[in-house]
This record gives sequence, structure tokens and C-alpha cells, in this order.
Amino acid sequence: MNPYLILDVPDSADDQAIRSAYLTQLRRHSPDTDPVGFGRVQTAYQNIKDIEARCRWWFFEHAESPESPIALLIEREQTRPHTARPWPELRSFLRHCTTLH
Amino acid sequence: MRIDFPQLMPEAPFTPAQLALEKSGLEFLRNGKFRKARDAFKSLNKTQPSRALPLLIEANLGLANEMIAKGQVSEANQVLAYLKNIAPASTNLTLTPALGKISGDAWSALVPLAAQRLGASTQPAGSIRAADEMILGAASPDHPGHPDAKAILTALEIGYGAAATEQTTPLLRSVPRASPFSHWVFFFKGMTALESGDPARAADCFRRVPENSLLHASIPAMLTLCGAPATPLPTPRTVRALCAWADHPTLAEPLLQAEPLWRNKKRSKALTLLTKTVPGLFCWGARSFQADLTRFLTTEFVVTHLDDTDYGESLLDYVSGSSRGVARAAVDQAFFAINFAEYSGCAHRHFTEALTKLDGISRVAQLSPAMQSRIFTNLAETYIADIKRHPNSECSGPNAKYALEHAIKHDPDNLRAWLMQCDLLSMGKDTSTYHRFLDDLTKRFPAQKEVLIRNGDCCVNRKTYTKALRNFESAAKLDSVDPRISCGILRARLGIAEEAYTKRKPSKANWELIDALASANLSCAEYSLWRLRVRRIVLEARQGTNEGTLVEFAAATLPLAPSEFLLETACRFGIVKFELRFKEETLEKMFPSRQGPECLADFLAVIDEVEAFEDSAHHANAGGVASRIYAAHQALLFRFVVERKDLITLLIKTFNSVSPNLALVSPVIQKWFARDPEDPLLRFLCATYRFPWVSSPPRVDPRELATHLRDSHDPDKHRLLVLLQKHSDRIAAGRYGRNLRERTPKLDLDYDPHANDDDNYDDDDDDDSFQDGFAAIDQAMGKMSPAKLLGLLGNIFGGAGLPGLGNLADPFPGHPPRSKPPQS
Repeated sequence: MNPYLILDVPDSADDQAIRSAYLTQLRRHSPDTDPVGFGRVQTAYQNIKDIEARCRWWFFEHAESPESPIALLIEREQTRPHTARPWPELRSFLRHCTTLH
Repeated sequence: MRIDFPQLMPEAPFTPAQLALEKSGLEFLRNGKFRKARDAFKSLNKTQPSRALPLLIEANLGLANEMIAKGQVSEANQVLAYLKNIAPASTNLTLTPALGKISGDAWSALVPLAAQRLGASTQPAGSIRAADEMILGAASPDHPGHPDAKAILTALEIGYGAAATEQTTPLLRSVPRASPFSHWVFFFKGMTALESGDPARAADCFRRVPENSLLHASIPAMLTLCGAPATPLPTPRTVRALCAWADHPTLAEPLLQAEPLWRNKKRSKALTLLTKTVPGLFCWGARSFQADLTRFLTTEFVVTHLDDTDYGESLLDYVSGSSRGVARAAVDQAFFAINFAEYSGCAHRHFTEALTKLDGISRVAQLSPAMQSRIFTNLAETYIADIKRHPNSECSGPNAKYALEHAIKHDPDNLRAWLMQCDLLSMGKDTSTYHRFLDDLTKRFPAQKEVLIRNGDCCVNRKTYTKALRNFESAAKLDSVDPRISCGILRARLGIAEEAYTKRKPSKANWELIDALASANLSCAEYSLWRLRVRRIVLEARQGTNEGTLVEFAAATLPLAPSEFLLETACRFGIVKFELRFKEETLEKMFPSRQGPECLADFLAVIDEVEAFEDSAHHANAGGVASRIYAAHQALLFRFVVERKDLITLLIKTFNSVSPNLALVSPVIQKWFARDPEDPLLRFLCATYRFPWVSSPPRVDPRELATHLRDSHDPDKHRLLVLLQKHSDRIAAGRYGRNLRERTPKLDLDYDPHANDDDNYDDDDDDDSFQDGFAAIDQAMGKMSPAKLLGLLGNIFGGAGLPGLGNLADPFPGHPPRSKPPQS
């Protein structure tokens, strides 16, 4: 799992931004209601919390790389925090899906 | 759609022309060209209604659906009105526009038609489709007439976040299970579960959406998002839906095309395809799918498929050949990040892995030697920083050295690597190697300012001043404004001058100093012009080359000089010449430039210096000189010391001074007491200094003392506390003869103004409380809050006189002691 996606931060995020995103995600995935998500967020934060951890993850622990671009797309969308989309946006998506073949 | 049309009368068979017309009409119908089909069957219907009418109705229905899909509702209604005229009553004239052909504006047109169908339909499938059209086409919850649709739409408008659960739950419960809208409840619950991080529950909900619903088109994508895809590999439709979900619908086709290439290990072709078709690729730092894809492609190269040279070459060909500087910077950033790979540890595995990757990257990327050298230099920089943080690190030093050797091997002209190696050597204990290295480096880079400066500094430290001056002068030719160079030249010239004086060559020394003065830069903090002058005079005085310079110097420079240099001058003169006359002259010039109580404090400090000549033959004159100076400047002192806070500052600052000097201050203090004989802090300080005219234990109001301490600056407070501590030690040694530190004070440090109400202030029985108080100060100093400090002082002084001073006569006759401290 890509910790950047789990925490919803860009690659260039610094320690402070990552910490802030971590706290935001913790509020969303509390250990009581979502223990799995809580553990995932914690692991993600440990992986990129500072430059040392980021480099280690990047070059030595980033073994679970997606196997293909579409797998990357799927992983990205699975791990990205699902924010509540407003109904007009969701409706457009559903309408668009009816046109797909 | 088949229409059972009753056979009314036998008709003649089609002629060949009619057959041809019918054939073309059927062809139009199959191809979705309903208008042309309608025209063909319309003409046939006149002669062969039993055979042509069903086809005519079907063509008109298709035309009406097409119109509806385009949002042409009125035209579609006209067609429907025509159909009602020609079609039998039992004909189902329901309009169901084909999926994928409904334009955005046409959805709203479907709502009233869907409402009609929903009321008329008896089949569940038709109802579900109509319900979906009603929900997806409604502009607002008030638009559709169906109550369930209104509830669903209201809930969707509110949102499916956790915060809206209280509002949406009653709405969803109002939708019965048999309602054609009930699958929307499952969809809503699925979205809520997905948003709240419960993908398993979300997948369960999504699976309950019926297949004939319009919603089902999105369900495979939603199941994939939940981690429970319907098929192991996503279908193209799912990929397109996922791209739409990710707000990148245009990326679906490039990904679908690149996917089989990638999986068949044709990564190079896939990369080429992606770079040509995906806009915005190789943009780093952004929070977009393109950025993730860029990272994926680069990571695949750097981490996973470093041995795939075809792919690596394709990647780096593209990146290197790209005109976008961002891409180049991105790869550079990636390389640089590798340098940090061994940021923290001494794990040699990581180090070798990092170097292996670097070598691989360099080989595949065909980086220039300078670039490779730069990468290794960055790596070495990391290790050197680690050495500074952890001096005992065992691996960082060898790793840094190894990386620097690589860097220099790749690019011998990499000055940064050389200088870093210089830093590395300077951290070691082998100074001779370091010096030789610097000399070699200077020969290699004779025109590099940084090298020359480092060598110059090193030479100054080695006291090879001539060589240092040569280096600094060479550097000055390259950069005339660098303050490090001018400062270095001054240091070198001063060193040469000192050597010359030592070797009895005062003329040469003077010339060096004159040159140094000429090139002195006032912005040079370490060796300012003042200090240079002082040094020159001192050196001349030491050698006896210019006796008259001292007076000349004092007259010319002292009125303007900073006080610290004046003191330095005074002390140096005294040390060098052993003649107090120089101090006196210096001080005479010095005092007019000083103001306030600091003037007197400086004076006392100088007098202390005079007394440092206790063993010299001139010591006997010290007191006389001090008295003369004081007599000459007494008026000046009195003029400046006019405020109470100045006097207290003076007392606090000079508590270390010996009593003869304090005796000089006593007239000032007595003058102040003449104004306010009950000043508690002054009384306390005077008692502490044991002024001979203090004859009784003064009473100290803790609040007065506390007020002053609160208002004073921190250094003053600290001095006073030290003073108190010293006082307590003196008492302990002289009167009680026991070590106060061995006692454990159990004082309540919070000041209680009523604690000592019943005590007699003159009662010596409170000595123990004093000892406790001073011991508490000793213990609590530095960690006491201001409030506790005040409370402690209240405990010390609030209820008793000062111990050790109880037998002295009352210095303030006619002024009774204050009875008690105020209660509030």
C-alpha cells in the first residue's frame, strides 16, 4: 500500500504536511470504529514520517509495487481516502457509467 | 419489439419494388436510422398495412427514443401522438431510450416520462428502470412526484457522510422494500460504508443492486474500489468507470492499450505509448494520477527492473531528451534521494545496495562523469553530516571516504568532493595528513578561493603566518570583498608582527601592524579596528619602542572606544608596564564616556584589576591610585547614580568586590539612605555587605524585595540569589558550623503572608528558618517559579531579622523598624 495515497499527500510533502495529514486520517479512522484503517494509517505514517523513513521505504521497502499501470490505478483508488462526493458529482459519474460499453 | 397486429383482410403480396423498399427499411431499422426507416415503412403501410404497420410503429418508437435521448421532448411527444392514432390500443408505447445515447440535458426530460411509466408499469423490471431514470434525471428532490424518489433524492442531496446519518436514516427507512427505488437504499448504504472505511459492508450493499438497474453499470467499479472485484482482471468497462471515478476519463484508453504490453513484458513499448498518450506525465510533486504513474514508471526502473536495460534506456532516453526541465529535475531528485538511502544507519547492506543502484543508474542512464560524481558527493555529504551528529559512528567515516573516492574518481575536478574530503580529514586526528592534503589541494586548485581560504586558516592555526598571508592574498585577488579573506589577512599580519616582536624586530612588526591597520575592515567582527589599535599599542609598549604612544592613544581613541576595549586596554597596560599611571590615565579618559551605575561598576572592576598586582612592588600604590581616581570622579558618580534602581543595580553587580572598594561606594549609599532610611532592599544589601556604619539588623519587607525582583532583569535576580546563597554559606560556616546542604528543608515554598503573623521580628529563634530558607534557595535556584521565589523570600525575610547581624548597632537611629509586613 502506498503510504502517500493512504495519507493523501503528494510526494513532495514535508514532515509537517505528512504529520498533519496523519492526524487528519486518524480522526477519520479511529481504532474503535475502524481498526483496520487505523492500523493502515499508522503503518503509512511510520513509512514516510521523516526523510529517513521515506528513503528507506522508497528504496528498500517499496517491494509491493503495483504490477501494471491499471493495477496502479486500482490501488490508487482503493487506498485513496473516499471522501463523500456531492450528489451532482456522483450523479454525473453514474450517468457516465450508463454510457460505457 | 414485436407487435401482434390482427389480420383484417387478405392482402396482395409485395411487388419487387415493395420488397426492395421493405428490405432497405429493415436495414435502416437495424442500423438505428429510424427516420429513414419510418419513411420507408410509411409508404409501404399504405398498401400493405398488415405487414408494414408493426415495422412503422417500431421505427417511430425508435425515433421517439432517439429524440428523447437528445432531449427533444416535444418532438418525441408528437411522434407518440401519431403512434397513438395508428397503433392498436393494446400496443405498448413505452419509451425506453437506449443506454449510452442519453445526453446530459435529456435526463431531465426523462423524468415525467419515467413517472408515467412508473405509474402504468406492472413489470418490476420496467419499474426499476423508470425509477433509476427518475432519480438520475431529477434536478432536485421536489421535481419528481413519487414519494420514494423524493426521499431518496433528499438523502442523496444531504450526503452519505457519517455526519448526515441522523438525517438520512429516517428518509431511507420510509422507502419500503417492495418499492422500485429500494435498490437505491442499498446503493446509498454502500456509499456510506465506503466513505466510512468499511469496504466489506459496502461491497455487500453494492451486490444487492439488481442487474437491470441503471446503477449496475457502475457496480463493478464500485466493487473494485471495495477490494472485491467481480473478476480477477478488470474489464475495460470497469477500467473506464474507474478512470471516470478518478476524474481522469480520458486516461482509460491509453491504460487499456498499455496494459497488455506491460503484462507481456514489453515495458519499453508500453512506456512509449504512455508517454505519447498520457498528458502531463512526468510531473512530480503533484497529487495526481499522472504523478503516481510517473513515480510508478521510475520506481519500476530504479527498484524493480534495474536489469531491464531496454526499459531503462527508453525511460531515460525520453527523460533526457525531453525538453521539460521538470523531468530532468525529477530524475535528479530521484538520484539525490538515493543518496539519502543510508541516511541513518550503519547497515552496510543498505550502503552497498545504494551504491549498486547508483552504479546501475549511472550505467544505464549513461550519465556524465560529472553527474555521477555529483551523486556520490551528495552521498558523502550525508555521511559527513552523520559524523557530526554521531561522532562515535563507526561506519559513516569509511562510507563517506569511500563515496568521496568514487566521486573524485568519476570527476577529478569536483571541487566540492575535494573540499568535503578536506572536511573529513579535519575531523580526524592526523593533522599532518590534513596539512599535506591541503597543500596538495592548493597546488591542484591554485585559483580556487575556497581552497586558498582553507589553507590560509590552516596556516594561521599552525602559526605559519607568512604562508597564510600568501594564501589569503591570492584569495583576495579572486574576491576582494569576502570578509573571511580580509579577516584572514589581518590575522596573518598580526601573527607576523608578533613573531617579529618576539624576534626583536620591532620595525618589521610595526610595519606589519600598520599594513594591517590600513587594510582593517570595521565590518570584520573578530578583529575590529579598535582591537588592532590596542594590540599595536600593547606590542609597542612591550618592546618599549614608543613610550609616548600610550598617552597619544588614550587621547585620540579612548573617548570613542567601546568600554570593553577600554578595560582591556587598561588591564593590558597594567600587565605590561606595571605602572598604574596608565590605568589612571585610561580611566580619566574613560569615565566621561560612561554613564549611569555601570560607570561605577566599571570603576570598581578596574580597581579589582589594580589589586591583582598584590605581589608586585606597585601594590602599595593601588589603594592610593584608586582613591585619587575616586576623588577625581566622585562628583561624576554622584551625578549619574541618582535613582534607586541604579543604586540597587550597582550593589547587586558589585557584591563580589572586596570591602575596600565597597567603602568607596558607601557615600553614595548613605546619600540614598538619607532620602529613604526604610528602604528594605537597600537595608538588606548594606547589611549583607557589612558596611561598618550598619549597626543593627535591618528589617526587610518581602514585598518590597519581591517587587524589585519582579521588576528587575533576570541577571540581577540571579545575582541577588547568588548573593543570598553566599550569605547563607557564610552564616553556616561562622555561626552554626554545619553543612546546610545535608539538611532537608521541608519548607512550603508557596508564600503565605499570614504564616509569621505571630512571630517577633527580633527573635533569634528564627535562625533555623533562615537556614532552611537559604538551603531552599540553594536547592531551588534555577527551577523556581517567580511566585515561589517571592514566597520563599517572604519566608526568609518576612518574619525575622538577618542572622549574623543581630549584634550590630542600629544604623538608622530615630527610624523604628517596620512593624509587620502588609497583610494583603
